[in-house]
Amino acid sequence: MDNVNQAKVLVVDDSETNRLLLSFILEELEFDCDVADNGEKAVELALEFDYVAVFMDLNMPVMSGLEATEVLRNINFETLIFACSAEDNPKKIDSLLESGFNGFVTKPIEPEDIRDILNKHGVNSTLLPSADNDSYQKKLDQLGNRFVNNLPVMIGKIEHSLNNNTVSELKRIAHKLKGTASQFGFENIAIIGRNIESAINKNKLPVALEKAEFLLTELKRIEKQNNNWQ
Amino acid sequence: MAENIESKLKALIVEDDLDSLEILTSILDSTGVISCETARTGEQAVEYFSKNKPHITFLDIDIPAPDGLETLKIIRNSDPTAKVVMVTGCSDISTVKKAVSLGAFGYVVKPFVPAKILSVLKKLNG
Repeated sequence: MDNVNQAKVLVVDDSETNRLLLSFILEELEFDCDVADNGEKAVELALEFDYVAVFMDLNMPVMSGLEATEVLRNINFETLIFACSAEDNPKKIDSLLESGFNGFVTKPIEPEDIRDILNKHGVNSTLLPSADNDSYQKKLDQLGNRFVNNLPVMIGKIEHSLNNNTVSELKRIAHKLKGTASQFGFENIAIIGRNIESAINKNKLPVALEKAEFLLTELKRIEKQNNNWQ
Repeated sequence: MAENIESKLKALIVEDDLDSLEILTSILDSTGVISCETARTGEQAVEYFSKNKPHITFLDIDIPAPDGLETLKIIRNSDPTAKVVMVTGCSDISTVKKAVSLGAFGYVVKPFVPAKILSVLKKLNG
């Protein structure tokens, strides 16, 4: 498990100045910030990572903040989403709250507005210790051990796919690693898996192969570490 | 803790990756109120769904045919009230939009975090 104890917040705005400003305020409050410059990227990040709150500009290209929020609420995404806008018409602000936003911050944004709205919703920058139960943790440990013990087989399969140019096998392995490796504490392996799959999807084969070589190196390193401990 | 299996919520997990299947089952089991059945392909999922009408279905997108989105469509056509949560390693916006348009109840991106699964479950009663 990693040692990250800062809560993550997502800042969505198409203006770089606004992103930098809001990130600065949030980092001062000891939050870890990710940024996106349109609603589509915001939806992707919001689903992929674990945020305690999202600050969402309304008028953005590609997908507006309102559309992004509606998409997320449609699939029962529960995280707090605050609209950020220069809007001052109370009726419009009320309609935003009915559309799934949890609150509203008026631009230009002041540090105390951000602090107040987070306080009001009980958001703290320090993550609480995980309340996950024992049986779940035991299961993760057990599967993590199986993952490590299975490394020689996986390394063999990757080498086989590289030697025989069987991209489909490499993609299958990368997809699996992307989904599960971080669950066992191997965040870097999950990231490399994600990069390989994305390169294959974009038909960037040389990039995929280069990353696959890196994946092999990393997996062999973990395997060696494991052997040393046994 | 509910002991009687009849009183538990029925969940169907459709997943062809063994690790993901075990992790998700373990999270759902830990609630003590959900009994899990599993399917490995879209075809098995559709068959199980039509016979057993689970309260909630966790459906991987990248499964043997029909894939998760197609399976979602078939299930929702047969039962427009079906609660289907897509589980996937991919938060690509076009896939998310497709899932929303087909009436997905939730969308969870791997790796599984118990809090995310439990927050979708809470919405079952809402």
